[in-house]
Amino acid sequence: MAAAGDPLPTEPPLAGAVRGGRAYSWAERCRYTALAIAVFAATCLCIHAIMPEPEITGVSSKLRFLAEHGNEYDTIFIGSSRVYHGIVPSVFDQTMAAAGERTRSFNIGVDGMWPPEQFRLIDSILRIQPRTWRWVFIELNDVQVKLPPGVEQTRRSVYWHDGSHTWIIFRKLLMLDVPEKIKRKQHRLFQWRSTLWMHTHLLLKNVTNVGSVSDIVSRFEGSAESTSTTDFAVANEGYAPVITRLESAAAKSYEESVARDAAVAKPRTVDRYAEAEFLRDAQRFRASGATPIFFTSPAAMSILPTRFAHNPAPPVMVFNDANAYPSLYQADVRVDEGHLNAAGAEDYTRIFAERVLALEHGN
Amino acid sequence: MLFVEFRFFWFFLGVFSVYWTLRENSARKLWLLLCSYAFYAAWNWKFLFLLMGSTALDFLVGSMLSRTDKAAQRRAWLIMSLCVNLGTLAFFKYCNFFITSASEFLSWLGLPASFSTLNIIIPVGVSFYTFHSMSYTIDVYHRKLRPVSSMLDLACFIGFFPQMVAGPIVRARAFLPQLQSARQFAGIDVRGALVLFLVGFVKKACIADALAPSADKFFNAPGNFTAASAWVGVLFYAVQIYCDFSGYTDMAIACARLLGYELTLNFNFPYVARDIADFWERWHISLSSWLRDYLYIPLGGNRGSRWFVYRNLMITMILGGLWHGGAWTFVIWGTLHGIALVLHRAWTRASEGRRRCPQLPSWLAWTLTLYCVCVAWIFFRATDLNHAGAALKSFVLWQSEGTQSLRPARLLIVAALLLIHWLNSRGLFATWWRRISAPAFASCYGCTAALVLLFIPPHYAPFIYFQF
Repeated sequence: MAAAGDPLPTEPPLAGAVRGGRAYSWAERCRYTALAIAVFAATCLCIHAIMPEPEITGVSSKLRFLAEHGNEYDTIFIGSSRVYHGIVPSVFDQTMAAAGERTRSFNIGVDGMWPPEQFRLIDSILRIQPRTWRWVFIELNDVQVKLPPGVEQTRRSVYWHDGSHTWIIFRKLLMLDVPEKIKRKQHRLFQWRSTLWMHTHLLLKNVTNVGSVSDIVSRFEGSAESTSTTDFAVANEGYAPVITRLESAAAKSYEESVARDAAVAKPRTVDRYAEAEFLRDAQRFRASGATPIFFTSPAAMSILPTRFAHNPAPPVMVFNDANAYPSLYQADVRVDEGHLNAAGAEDYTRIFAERVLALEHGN
Repeated sequence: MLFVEFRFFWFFLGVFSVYWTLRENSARKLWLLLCSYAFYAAWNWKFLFLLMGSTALDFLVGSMLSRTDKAAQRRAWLIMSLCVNLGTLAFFKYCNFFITSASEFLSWLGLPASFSTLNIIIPVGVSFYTFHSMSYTIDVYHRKLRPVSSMLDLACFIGFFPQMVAGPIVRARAFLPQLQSARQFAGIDVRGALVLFLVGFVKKACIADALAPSADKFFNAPGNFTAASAWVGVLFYAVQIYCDFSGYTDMAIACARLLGYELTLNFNFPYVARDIADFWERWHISLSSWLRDYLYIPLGGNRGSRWFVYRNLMITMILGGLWHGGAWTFVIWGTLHGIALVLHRAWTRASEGRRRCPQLPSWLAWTLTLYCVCVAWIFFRATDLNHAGAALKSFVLWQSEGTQSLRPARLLIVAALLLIHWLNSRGLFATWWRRISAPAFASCYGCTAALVLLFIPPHYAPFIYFQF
């Protein structure tokens, strides 16, 4: 401690600082600020362009496998965990082979893969499409505007927030294609302000490459997000079985919820923002020589869409119907309302293949 | 809202734009106050009333002090202000500490004791704004400062958002005069402020947050790591706390400067200090000078016998440790620094006037100082005394049964950062950016900012000193 009476430490000027100096006009200041922002934006975009694809658990490994072994397959399934744990490629291939249609299929289902992230995944698949596929099965779903709790802070939520996919969310939240009064639009803006802010923040994080070096270092050190127990399974052609089944109390509750759901469920169209993107992706797959077929997984009937509003539209195979497919809604083949266990997945895949054959033969 | 978040950027852009658009000084102060309260409310709006209450009380005390010359009355007003401010601080920060300590002490005596601790949330920045407001009433009492006539001025000073939640601890007599006249943008060192903000951002977001996981891993279970890893963990924490705190301070000073206000220097390259007294003239300068002027000197300071001075030093440092938090680890941290200061003082006094006094080589003095500071940091960071003991055993005695490793090669990172710290203290990077043209500066700044964002770890860690 200094002696009593020592002068208070006054803040010295920044080392080498020059107080005063040349005075700039406001026009000059604005010009230089704009220059700094422009250089910042240009640098971010250049870095973004040369940065390698981020390592995303559950997604990157499948894309990598597809890039290396895609020539070995002629059929792929794209969708969420309902596809990842619900469609068994080997069963599909066997069923098709028994009917004289030889296929080799691969499951690109990923946990939590919904539009618009699904559109980003399709973009990646189309970029690395190693050969002309015969069939591309795409799970139909609405654009999801909210993220599950805890996901916002992960790399997985950032990587797909580029301009085009984030714009889909903004268009849906604010219904920008629907002419409305300004006050209505302002109300929507206020109503969705925190969701809009979240997506804007993730977009900014993505385009400014926040934390990209740590991703690369993590990959180099081998300390990237560890493989979850339900991550990509090479041996099963991308399919991950779930062995559990509902316990008695949970089973009873599930059956009651299915009955309630069936009573209120009505077939509905997919939201127009997802539809536009799905139709565009279908066109791109067709241009590459593949046949895109959409489907709805056997899950909650009141939640999932079953058709397109656009006419003509690609075919949609609808499986979320407990009346049409009661065996897929029995408690002993379910994990929960959204997912089938291994036994249910095999049954579902067989039915799926039979529907494909019927479609192929014009029934 | 942390300074390193995107939303702070938008917040400050709004504050800055409107502030400099307003012409009237009173309008600017009102805008600043509203924004500061909004900034604080973003943490927890309920504690805003506590802040307002503290401000209102001290404004009243200041007014009453100016209305009377009677010593007893003036002393009574001052004591009331100190009691309320310190009482609030004590309740929120130390209530559970005293309850738990009393319970443990009674148990140690063999007496049954079972007290429930309270579920208290510590208001963000309570330690800081309490000291800000106390500096006002104490200086008014000692007639070093005239009381403000407008509560807006006092509220602006106490609630000024750059320094409210984690310092620097600004004195009323250094800040209040700046509020009397409208600031002129032409007089602001904009370039210096922008560079200071970027430097602070790099220190906090790129260095401190990157080192935090390894330091946390070690201090959460020090007994599980090897002795070499103890050095990594402790040195990482030493760098982390400096970069975290000084980075925040740099950003706070830069934001204040862009609004036309100068805050107190808080750090002056503390890790180049050659003795513990030098360290305390470089580390958290605003706190050490506050404690010196409002605690050490009133206790008697250097006036008296050497044991009297030692006593004053120990009391000041122990209370300084306790200021950081209600835990025995902080008390021990303060005690260790107090002992170090006492020993340094004794050594200095013993060396005075001796011709053949052995002087430590600079490098040895620096190494010993850094070592002692790091040993003290163990107590500052440890979650409890058991963990502190385990970490100390590894760090000092090189004894550990742990087998986990934090890759000792990472010590090279610490060495590199210390080198940069030393070069900075020599002013190596200080002035080149002032000599380039404005367009070149703008371009370099934009490019550097884009590159800096690459190195931010995925998750933001809160500022360490927010917990104080």
